[in-house]
Amino acid sequence: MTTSPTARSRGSRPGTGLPVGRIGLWAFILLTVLFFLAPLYVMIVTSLKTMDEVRLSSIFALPMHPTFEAWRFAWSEACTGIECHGLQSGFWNSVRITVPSVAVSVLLGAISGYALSYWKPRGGEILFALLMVGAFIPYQLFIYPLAFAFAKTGLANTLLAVVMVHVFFGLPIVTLIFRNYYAGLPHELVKAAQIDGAGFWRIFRSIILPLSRPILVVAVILQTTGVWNDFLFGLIFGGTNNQPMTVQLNALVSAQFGEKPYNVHMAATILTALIPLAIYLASGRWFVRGIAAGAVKG
Amino acid sequence: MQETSVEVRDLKVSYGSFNVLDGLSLDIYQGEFLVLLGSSGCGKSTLLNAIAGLQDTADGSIAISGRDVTFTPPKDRGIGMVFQSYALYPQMTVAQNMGFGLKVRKMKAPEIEARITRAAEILQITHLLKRKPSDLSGGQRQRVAIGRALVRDVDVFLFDEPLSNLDAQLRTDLRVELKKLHQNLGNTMIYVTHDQVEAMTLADRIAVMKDGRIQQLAPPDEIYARPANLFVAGFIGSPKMNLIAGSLEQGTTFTAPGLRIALPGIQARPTSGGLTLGLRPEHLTLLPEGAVATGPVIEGTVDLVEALGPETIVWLRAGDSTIALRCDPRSAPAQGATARALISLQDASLFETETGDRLDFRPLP
Ligand SMILES: Nc1ncnc2c1ncn2[C@@H]1O[C@H](COP(=O)(O)OP(=O)(O)O)[C@@H](O)[C@H]1O
Ligand SMILES: [Mg+2]
Repeated sequence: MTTSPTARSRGSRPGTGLPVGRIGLWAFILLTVLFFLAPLYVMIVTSLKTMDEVRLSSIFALPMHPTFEAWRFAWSEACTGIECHGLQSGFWNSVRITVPSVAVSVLLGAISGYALSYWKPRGGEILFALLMVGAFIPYQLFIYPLAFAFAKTGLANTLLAVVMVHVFFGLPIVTLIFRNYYAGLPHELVKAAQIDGAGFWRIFRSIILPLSRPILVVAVILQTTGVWNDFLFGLIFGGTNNQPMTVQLNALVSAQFGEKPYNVHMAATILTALIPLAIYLASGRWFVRGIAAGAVKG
Repeated sequence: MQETSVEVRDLKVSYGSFNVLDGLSLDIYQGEFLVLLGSSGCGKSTLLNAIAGLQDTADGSIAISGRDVTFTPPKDRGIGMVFQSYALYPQMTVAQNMGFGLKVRKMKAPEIEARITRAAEILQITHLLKRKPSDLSGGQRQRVAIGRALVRDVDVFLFDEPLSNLDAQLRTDLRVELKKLHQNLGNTMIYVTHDQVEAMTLADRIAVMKDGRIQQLAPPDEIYARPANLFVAGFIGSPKMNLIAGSLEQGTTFTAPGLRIALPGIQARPTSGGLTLGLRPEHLTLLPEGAVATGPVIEGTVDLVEALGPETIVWLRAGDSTIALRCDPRSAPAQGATARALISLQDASLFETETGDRLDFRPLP
């Protein structure tokens, strides 16, 4: 007897065996991973070598005597321009820039998203459209007018100037993601709270904010990495006293004479990337969940 | 003379250039259970939101308990509202949900506690007080939503399709409970629904709405027996009222395509256009073969027989019309048979086809 028609039409169960397509897929994934991980690997092993070893060994070789000397040097002794105190001051500058920039832009974005979504203020739609246009105009266009304005108001080369610029450019996208997230929450919640007697701020604080955790995580991650990785604003508006880590890294890597201390460069680069990297690793799952929540509900 | 609880006067609400409500007036009595009934999009929620103060009005006025509240914020109108989506605050417990409105008003904690306890007892949700809304069933959530209004001692309860998200059995149960709650509390309740069964069972009076206008405002039995126009006639009742468009010939014979029904003694107002005869399925009685008719009769062939259990619906094809009539399952005719049905003329409705308005008519005894 041959197999019955029904059994045959079902075909083989998908996923059993290793069809060619699947092998190809895995090979592709593996290659992609290697492509992205190889540089990281080289950076890490190089940063753990002494310069003697860097000179002699292959860039893929593991360090024979792993040492954090290059890391220490990059952190506290390497020259970043005229000064030679390593990247540490830049790290703290970046912290001082990032924390208020993120806090203020996320909070303001949440409030404006909430206001736009639930209270539909007069002219709100126009304001929002302007914000969006602002978000998509290349920000380089704004640099000269901003620098001019800061110079006029005496804010040039201050921490406040850098923070203000970050808030200004972060606000549109943060407002957008909050507005979309809130659009997906039932509006009747706000109506019920209004009837209960709560006002604009009370509803935001007691009802809306506690429901915003997933999207807050997304916004904070987005803004933190964006602000931390910024180079241009810090360079232009921060002055010499408020240079973020990225600017110092650039100075460190480009301003050396003679032989390039690759181990120190690698260590400095990893140090600079550490914060965004840590955030991604720690919150990747939250991030995806928040994005998904926004996508599904928005 | 009954006291007025909510008075809506010439209310106008627009979204842009679109007038959802245009000059709507409505008086609701103290302690009344008023149902706003209409199909989706007719402006029921808009009207309810306007009464609640959640919707800006373009013109007209609203008074609650004798006080003009047209420009009063929702919290000061003495109203509580229950939404279709329940709108419970997800991160708060049941007790916190119920107490939120009181806390916002800075009421003392012991008093809040006492009120929550009392309301929870009335609604039989005492055992749920520490739970979060996500751990409750639909019916329980709805009770909590009612509790939120209950603790605030409001004059008027507003319900916006509160049972629409529940399954059929639960809906029936909660409907009965709502009715009891109303009888116990005696508050004014305004209840929005598109479900005619809810409207018929709950209401003291029903306001049937269409396109932002109240078509008829009357007690359920009157809405059912004497619909004010063709829309109301077709909207209420299942199966629908049989509506046969035709005209009156020689003063007493109603003629429709393929159909002549003698209406002896009818006294209809003369109209320019046609007439529509409205007959409820239960106002047609099947005549046994050979029986002598004591009044006007419709004759036709049986198109379809639907047995519902307690009763059977017989669909009769007569002329161009298909007419539904109710009969006892035991006397149901066979499909394809010829049948005669006696019209109970004193229960019939007559409408002006053009305007849709009800015509008062009395058959002579
Ligand atoms: N925010 C709004 N903007 C524009 N049109 C609206 C808005 N809300 C409701 N409408 C329109 O107003 C009409 C009445 O809506 P609604 O009162 O919600 O109807 P119902 O509750 O009877 O289903 C509908 O045609 C609806 O499309
Ligand atoms: Mg509605």
